[in-house]
This record gives sequence, structure tokens and C-alpha cells, in this order.
Amino acid sequence: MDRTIISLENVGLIKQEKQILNNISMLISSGQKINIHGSNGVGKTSLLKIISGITSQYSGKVRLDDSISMNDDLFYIGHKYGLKQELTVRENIEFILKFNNKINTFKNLIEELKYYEIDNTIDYKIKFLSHGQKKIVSLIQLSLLSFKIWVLDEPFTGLDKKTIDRFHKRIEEHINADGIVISTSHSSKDDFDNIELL
Amino acid sequence: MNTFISIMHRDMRVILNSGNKVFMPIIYLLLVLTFFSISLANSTSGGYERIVPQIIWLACLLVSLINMEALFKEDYEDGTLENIVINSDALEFNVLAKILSYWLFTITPLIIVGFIMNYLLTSDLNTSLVLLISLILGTLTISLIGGVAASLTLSIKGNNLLLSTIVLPMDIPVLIFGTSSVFNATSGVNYHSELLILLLLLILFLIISPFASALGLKNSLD
Repeated sequence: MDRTIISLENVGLIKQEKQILNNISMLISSGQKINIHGSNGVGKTSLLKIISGITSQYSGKVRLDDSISMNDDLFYIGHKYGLKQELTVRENIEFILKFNNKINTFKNLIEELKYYEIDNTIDYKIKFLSHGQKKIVSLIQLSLLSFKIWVLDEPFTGLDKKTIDRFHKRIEEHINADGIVISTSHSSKDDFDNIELL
Repeated sequence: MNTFISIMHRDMRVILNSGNKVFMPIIYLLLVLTFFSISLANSTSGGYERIVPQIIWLACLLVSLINMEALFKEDYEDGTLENIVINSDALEFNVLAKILSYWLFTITPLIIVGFIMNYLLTSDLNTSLVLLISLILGTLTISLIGGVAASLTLSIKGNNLLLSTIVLPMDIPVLIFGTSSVFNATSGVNYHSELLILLLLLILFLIISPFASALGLKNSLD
């Protein structure tokens, strides 16, 4: 809880002539997990997209610490799972690891799948998996890539309680290693730093 | 370089997994050739084989245009594009990798079939080789041009109309020099300058297209 990694200053966003985000400022330091919550359509996803640099047409400033580069330290998981339907679990993970030069953690894939109890799906094409399983595979990418900043859009929806607890454990490990988690949900969460969007 | 290869490798798997993407263009080419042969067989009194190379050229152009919109569409819809854009050190190279793998795995088989068909129909090896070379240069240029248009129209539903309109004026020079190179070859005239101009167009778009497409992609995700 020491060093400020991301700072947002008066961030505002106008979409289709409607002000979606207005004067949002926050400081995010390493070891922090943030839960951005609010009702539908208040701009939770838009804020995440601004933080991860997908959206560039906003007002205000988003600053990253010098030790951080967007390309190598931030991983974003949106509403879409970010997995190729036509490829197997193994091929999808292999690609994302190769793409980010982290192929040496590929050997941990089976362990991670076992941890979530879906290791029998390793050679299934993504299109044959259930929604929950797809979500788990996309979350497994986080543990294998070990990027510093995780930006997650509603990571807990569609998962059963057991899986949520397991993923919470992974989040704890990441926080203890000075990582950052920025997530969204519809309600406040006890063990997160909550930020409500109005 | 690693990311470049990893994208090509992934796209190769995706394309080859669905045989549809490889064989549809070829089937289209064969259909166009068949229809042309039937409709022109009587009207050109023996001159049909003189225009076969140009028909093949035209068919290859049309087929590569039809599929162009799918270039970034799948990645956009399944969300992998966002990760590629965020985690790319040089998005331009990764865009180029996508365009190249599209060309390599869907258009190259088409060109090879076009070459074989031309040789079978005209039994003129020289023209067939010129056709092959001009198609390689031409369709690569067309893919690069299409990449820009596909990235710009990505977030629009039913983007095919707009895409074809954007691409049309830039594809015409490629078509002119491509077809005239094979026409010159059939007529036994010099065709080197046409091929050189095709090469020039290719180099031009090889420089412009990755940057323009990368910007277009960022804009479409905005």
C-alpha cells in the first residue's frame, strides 16, 4: 500500500452526446484491489477501458508510474472472453503466452486447470465449453501471465461459489505480491476497496 | 518478432481448422470460370482462351474482396483483438502479421489453383507464370488495402458495402496493371513494366497499410 501506480485526474467521458463519466479522480497503489460498482450504464466498463488504454477519447488525465508499461504489465479481461472459439484451451493459452513472451509458464497450465477442476477440458475447443468454463480459462491467463495489473470486467458473474473462492485465493496471492486488481461488479464487496460510480 | 510469429501461427490454426475459409475461395474461382466458359463459349469464336487469364485475375480480385471484412471481425467479436491492441509493443507489425496470414492461408491456395486452371485451359506456360507472379503481387496489395478498409469499418454492422466502396478506387490501378500484364503476355508483348508497377504498388502499401490499419483498429475499439 505504498507507491501510486495509476492516477486518474478529472477523467470524463462523453459518448453519443451523453456525459457518462464526470470528474473521476483516484489513486491506485500497488497491493490494492479495487471494486468499481454502480448500477447498469454508469460507465464501469468505460472506465476500465480508459484505464487500460483502449479508449483514448476522454477528458482529464490517466498517468501510469514510470516502472509500468501498458504493454507488458496490464492485462484486460472484458465481457468477451478473449478466447478463440475454434482453438482448444491449450492452443489459446499457448498463443497468449507466446504473444506476451511468457511461454515458460506454459507448463503450469495443467496445474491451474486442475486447481479449478477443469483439467479434462484441455484439448476441447473453446466453443464446446460452458460459459463458466470459458470464464475460468480466461481467468487462468492471469495467473500464468503474472502481469502486475489485472483489469477485470465483472470477473465473478457466471461462476459458482467454489470457483469464486478459488479465484479469490489467486487474487490474494497476487495482492501479496504487490499486484493490482481493478474489477467491476454491481454491488460493493467487503474485502475490496470500493468505489461507487453514480 | 516473437509476437509476429505467434499471431501468424494462431491465425494459421484458426483458418486451417475451418476448411471453409480455404476452400470457399477456390470453389468461387471454379464457379466463375465455369460460368464464364459457358456464357462466352459461343460468342468469342475461339478467342476464349485469350481472355482466360484476365477472367482468373478478376475472379481472384473479387473473391479476395468478399472475404476481406472477416479479417479483423472474428478477433473483434471474441475480444482477442483488445488484448492484441493493449499488449502490443508495435501494433503495426501485429496487424501486418494478421494481413499476411490472411493472404498466405486463404489467398495463396486460390492463386495456385488459378495458375493450374490457366495452364490447363490455355496450355501456355509463359502466360501462366506471368499470371502467377502478377497475382502474387496484386492480391497481396489488395489484402493490404483491404486491411485498412476492414480496420476502419470494423465497428460498423453490415460493413461490407462501405468496405468495398473504400477499397474500389485503390484497387483499380492494381486491376489495370494486373490484367494488362497477363494480356501482354498472351499477346507476346513485353510485360515487365506492368509487373514492376505492381511491385511498386505493393511496396507502397506495405509501408502505408500497417500504420493506417493499426490506427483504424485503435479507433474502432474506442
